[in-house]
Amino acid sequence: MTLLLQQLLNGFSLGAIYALIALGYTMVYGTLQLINFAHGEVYMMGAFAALYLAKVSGVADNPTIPGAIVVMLGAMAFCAVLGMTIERVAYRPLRNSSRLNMLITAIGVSLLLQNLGLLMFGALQDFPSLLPEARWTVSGVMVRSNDLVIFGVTATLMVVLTWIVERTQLGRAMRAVSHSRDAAALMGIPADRIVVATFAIGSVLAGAAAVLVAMDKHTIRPDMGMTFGLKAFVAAVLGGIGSVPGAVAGGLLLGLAETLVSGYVSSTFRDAIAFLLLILILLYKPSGLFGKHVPEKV
Amino acid sequence: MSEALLELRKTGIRFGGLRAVSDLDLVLPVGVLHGLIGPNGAGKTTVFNLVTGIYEPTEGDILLAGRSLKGVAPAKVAAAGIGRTFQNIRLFAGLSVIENVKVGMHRHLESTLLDAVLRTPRYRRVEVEAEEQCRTLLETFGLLALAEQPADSLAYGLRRRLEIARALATKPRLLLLDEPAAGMNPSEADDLMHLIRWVRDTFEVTILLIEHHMPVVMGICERITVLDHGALIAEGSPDEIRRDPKVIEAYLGADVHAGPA
Repeated sequence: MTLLLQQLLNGFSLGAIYALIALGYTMVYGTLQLINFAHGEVYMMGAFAALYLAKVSGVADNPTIPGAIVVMLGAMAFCAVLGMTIERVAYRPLRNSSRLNMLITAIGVSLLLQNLGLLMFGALQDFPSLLPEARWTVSGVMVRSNDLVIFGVTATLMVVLTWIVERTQLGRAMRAVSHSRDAAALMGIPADRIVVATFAIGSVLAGAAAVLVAMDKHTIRPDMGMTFGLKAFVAAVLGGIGSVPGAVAGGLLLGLAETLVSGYVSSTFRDAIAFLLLILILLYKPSGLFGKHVPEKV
Repeated sequence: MSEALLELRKTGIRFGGLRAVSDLDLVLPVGVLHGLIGPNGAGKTTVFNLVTGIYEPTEGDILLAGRSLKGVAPAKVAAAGIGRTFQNIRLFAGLSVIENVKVGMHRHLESTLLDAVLRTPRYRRVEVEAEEQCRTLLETFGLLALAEQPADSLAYGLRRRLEIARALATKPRLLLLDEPAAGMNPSEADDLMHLIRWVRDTFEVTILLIEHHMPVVMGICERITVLDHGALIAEGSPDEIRRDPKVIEAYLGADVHAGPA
């Protein structure tokens, strides 16, 4: 029982991170039908931006809550700018070309950023604590302060995101563009600006996720966006790509599945379960848990 | 004649070797209700797509109140004051009825995301005004009771009405209606005909109407342009069009030379 509770806690913690990153994939897919493979690298760059900020601001030597907040907001802002730049430079010129061209460009941007990271930062760097860390044992289950931070930050961001999407003019325009970019444009919605906003919001979430992971693992690497990005992409597909609640559900499901498998079976199969789930969902419910089947328009 | 709101000058477009529209001249004075008819495939919707910037004309020019629309992107054309509906209804399916109308109003709502996050007085004022205007529009179109329903749950005829309401929310000077009565029974089509004329008078818009229901077109349009194979074959008042042998030929085939149907 204790083991189960422990695994559930760990699973939700991991799943919350997947969900944050998955939201970026799913939102961009919703507006552009593009799988933005560079999203994982935005997340990676966010971690290095946070490291730089932590060192420059002195938070690395003197961890405090306000300091951690400043570093996190800084990394989120950096990611927003990076995401918008990628959209402007790499994707917008291809807006009217085939989806395959955009997809290949996305993979290219991803590789470019990864190798740029390797060149600039080396293979691996230590990440300092941004907050005083603590751990407690509650009836046999170890609860770390980092888990609470992850839950708190993720929940806050998701509430804000839901509010933006459901209740604001920007969110309404985003949903309109995701239904039909052409029809939205003909109603006077500046689709390009909405797409930029979508990239910015998705990247902000990736930046937050990067800081949470870096704080938790204490090492960051230029290839960290590969595995995490790919898993988060799987989470987005599990939930139904294009669906915001789907990305959250998919992320949590994947996190739980991974920790339960490594807890009860073997951590060898930890990564395999993600792709096993992906294969199952593609076989039995290709549109994902929350996705609607949209017939291809000719 | 009063000043022209929309003017097509020798407008044409080719898709490869196919001339979908060629050499089309069309002048819409302010406030007119103008019909655009022709057999299937005559190029009527292509004309709408040219005017709204989905296609760029390969020949000639299109002017809105004297300013060229050539090469202007659809969102800018909408901002310049052209609203439209679609032959195959293109509502934002997952959004509610009132949200569809609010999307139409988007361009006129001048608050930013920062305003929304901070809930500034400006944001609240703009949202309240938009809500009121949208509700008034929906009431006009008999859709107020359904405001919170998802748009795709509406009955067919109501969806067509909602599309017109959404287009009007963009506050257009020129409204392009693409077969608004398609799929309606005669009594629904008759209601719609009155609604369209009423919209023109109340909102003071100029309307260009594509329609196959001849009673609708003949009943409300002041002038009618007939297209066949992408070219203009006749233009005139409903009475003139009804009697024009070329129009009868285009619709019924070359062998029929009887009087008006």
